[in-house]
Amino acid sequence: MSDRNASAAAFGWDFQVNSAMLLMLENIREAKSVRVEGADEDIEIVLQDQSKIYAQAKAVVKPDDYSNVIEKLTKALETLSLAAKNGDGSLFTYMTNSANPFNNQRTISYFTGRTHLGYDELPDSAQKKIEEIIQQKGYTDLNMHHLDVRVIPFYGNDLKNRYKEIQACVNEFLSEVNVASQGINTEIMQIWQRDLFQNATQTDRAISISKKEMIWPLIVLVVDKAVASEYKKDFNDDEIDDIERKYKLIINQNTLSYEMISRVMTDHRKSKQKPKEFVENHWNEYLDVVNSVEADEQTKESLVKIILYRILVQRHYIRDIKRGANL
Amino acid sequence: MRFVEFTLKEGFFQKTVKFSEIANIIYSEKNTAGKTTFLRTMFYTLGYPVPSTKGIKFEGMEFWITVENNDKYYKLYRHNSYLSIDDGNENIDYSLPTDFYEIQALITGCDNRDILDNLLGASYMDQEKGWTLLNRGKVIGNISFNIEALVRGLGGKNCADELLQLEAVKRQLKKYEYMHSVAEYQEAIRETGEDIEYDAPDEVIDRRIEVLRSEKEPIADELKQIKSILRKNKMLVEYIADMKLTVQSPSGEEIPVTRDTLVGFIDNNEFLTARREMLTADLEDINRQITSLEKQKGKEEQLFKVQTAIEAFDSDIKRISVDAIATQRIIEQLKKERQKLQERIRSMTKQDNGVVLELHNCISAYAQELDVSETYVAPNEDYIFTNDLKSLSGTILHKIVFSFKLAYIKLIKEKTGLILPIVLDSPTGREVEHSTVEKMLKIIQRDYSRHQLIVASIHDYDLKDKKIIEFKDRLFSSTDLMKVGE
Repeated sequence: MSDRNASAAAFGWDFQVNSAMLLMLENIREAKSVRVEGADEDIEIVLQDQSKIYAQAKAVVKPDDYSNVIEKLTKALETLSLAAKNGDGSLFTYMTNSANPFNNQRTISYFTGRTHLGYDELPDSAQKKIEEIIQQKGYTDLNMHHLDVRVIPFYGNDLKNRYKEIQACVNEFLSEVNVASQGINTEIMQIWQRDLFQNATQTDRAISISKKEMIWPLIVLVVDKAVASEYKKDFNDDEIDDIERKYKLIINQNTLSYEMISRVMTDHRKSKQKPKEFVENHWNEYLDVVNSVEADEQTKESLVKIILYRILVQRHYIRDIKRGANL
Repeated sequence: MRFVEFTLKEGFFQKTVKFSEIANIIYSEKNTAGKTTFLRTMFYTLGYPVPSTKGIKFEGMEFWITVENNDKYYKLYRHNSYLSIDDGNENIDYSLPTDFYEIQALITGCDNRDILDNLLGASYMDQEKGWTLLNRGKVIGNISFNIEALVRGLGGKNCADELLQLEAVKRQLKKYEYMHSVAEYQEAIRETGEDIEYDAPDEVIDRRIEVLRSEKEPIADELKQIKSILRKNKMLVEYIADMKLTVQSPSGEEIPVTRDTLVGFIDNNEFLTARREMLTADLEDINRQITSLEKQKGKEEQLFKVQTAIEAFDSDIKRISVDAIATQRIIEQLKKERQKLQERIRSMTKQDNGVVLELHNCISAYAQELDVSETYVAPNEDYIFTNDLKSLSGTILHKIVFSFKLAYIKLIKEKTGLILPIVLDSPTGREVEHSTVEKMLKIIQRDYSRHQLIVASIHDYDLKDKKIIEFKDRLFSSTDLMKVGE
């Protein structure tokens, strides 16, 4: 029995973490940070204007088990009503993975798939149910018109299936910030899940992550993957992967040191050339950075070109993603 | 053959009973006075491997019995596996169970083993099994009765070769069945997932740890480098900021040179910090995996130490290669062969064997006399070999069993001249009615008057020339205390 409870609790926590991630991504432009707390299944998103989105994430282990959904809804409304007392809530969100969050077969078509409905858009019977609970239990601090409901399909032991909708959200976000999601989307999702989930479970089950902490790992991934794929098009060189692997530390050293970045950026600005042109025309001015490398001339040339190209291109990605996330 | 005198001795107690050559009733009021033990020890003294009864160990006791056969007297003495026979001329020593047949041949005058094997079942009716033992089964302990063998012996048929073959097949079958059960055992441990490998897990874990360590190395190197770049960048910017420089933009705005105004520095710093955090997390992941594997390894080592006998056995069993399917096939073949041999032996037993008909006639006659409806004893001669006992109700079964017994005894006498004593242990009991028993005993006294009759019972029966041997309380009473010096 306790085993089942433990796994149900872990499942609930997983849903909460992923809900927090999803809510953060949907509000990324206005958001400053996200806070997840296990005890009350609380999610808090602090916005730029210091107001907060309070969310409650309640999961059912079996998606077709509706026996507890009203109980879960009631609990969520109770916690949201408590949060409303703080007076800084701009939005109150109830998040669940049940396709029938009001246990009413007639309204089930409202909640199929990933759904986001404001209180005023909810079917009448659902509105009535919420009103009824709020009246009966005295959760009157909660303004129903600031309430919305999100349904996120989230079930199964196969994680690929469980995170299907979460992954879809991540992909949507990536395309909004103009990042080709291929090869990055799953990795960044896992990093976010890890940062929220693992860190939180290991400490006191409450974790706060700033937008900065969320977005920079994405930039790192994009620079690693997307930038490389971009300049590879221009190199026509099969050996490029080899060189990248073999001289990873040299490339890192020179693309990440501020001194080197400044040097390249300043030269580039002065030259008024496109990055590709600049690399072709000036690569031999930077051979000093690969002096210590024992390699043939051809390899050294490729290495310098990779370094220069990376420095020039990574800036665009950093700028674009920061802009997209309003960082 | 008759029992003349029987003495049994346990420690200081000794009891001697003299038998009437016609009819004896071993009588006691209570059921626990040792009548059954007494009867069983008589046959034990003759050399039969009769198991001890509750509370009395035959092995530690001494027995003397005098039997008479064909006007010859044999005085037998038995103590555990030692047995001696004094026939008046000489005293011969025997060792049991090796000399069993020799002993029986001497005192019965019959040397056919098929008959000797089945004399006890014909002569003795055990209180527990006797009244349901019809034509094959256990008489007492492991002593069995088999009508086929008896019929063969009485009919002078010999299937020694076939019997040897049958024995060989049975032995083989048993071995293959053991083999098959090993296969089943293997299957069971495999199915329940209890086949913990004790031989290789450390190697597997070690290999995984090795892989993780090799993955860890470049990450650690990169992390070290990132940290160093971060430090150098910071030093550079601090150095620049310390110079307190100010630059002028084309619009004329004066800008102090600090870490915040250096183009791209903050981004660079954030980028490096993010990468450092990611690498740190990766490293922690790997370390966590290594730690958990090492813990697991420790656990496995512990497990190995406390590997129980059953686990050791399981892992040994698993190494035995048994082909379950092939074994099963051989078992099926052997079973067929066994059946064929048994059929052959049976048919050889019955073929042109007058004993079968004689037995059948005799059984039918007695059954009829005991009011068993003809429908129960089938007219088919083969009926005497029947396996179908379950359809018979208690009383009818007892009557039929009794008829069979009488038929055996009669035929044994006719074919070998051996006049067996008839020993009945507690005939009244269960479904056997007193009146039926009286009727049976009358038949014995009428048709088997030359056979000595010994009945153990808590009832007295109306018998001609009966001698009542009364037991009080126990097998040994105080009067049985051996008189020292006598």
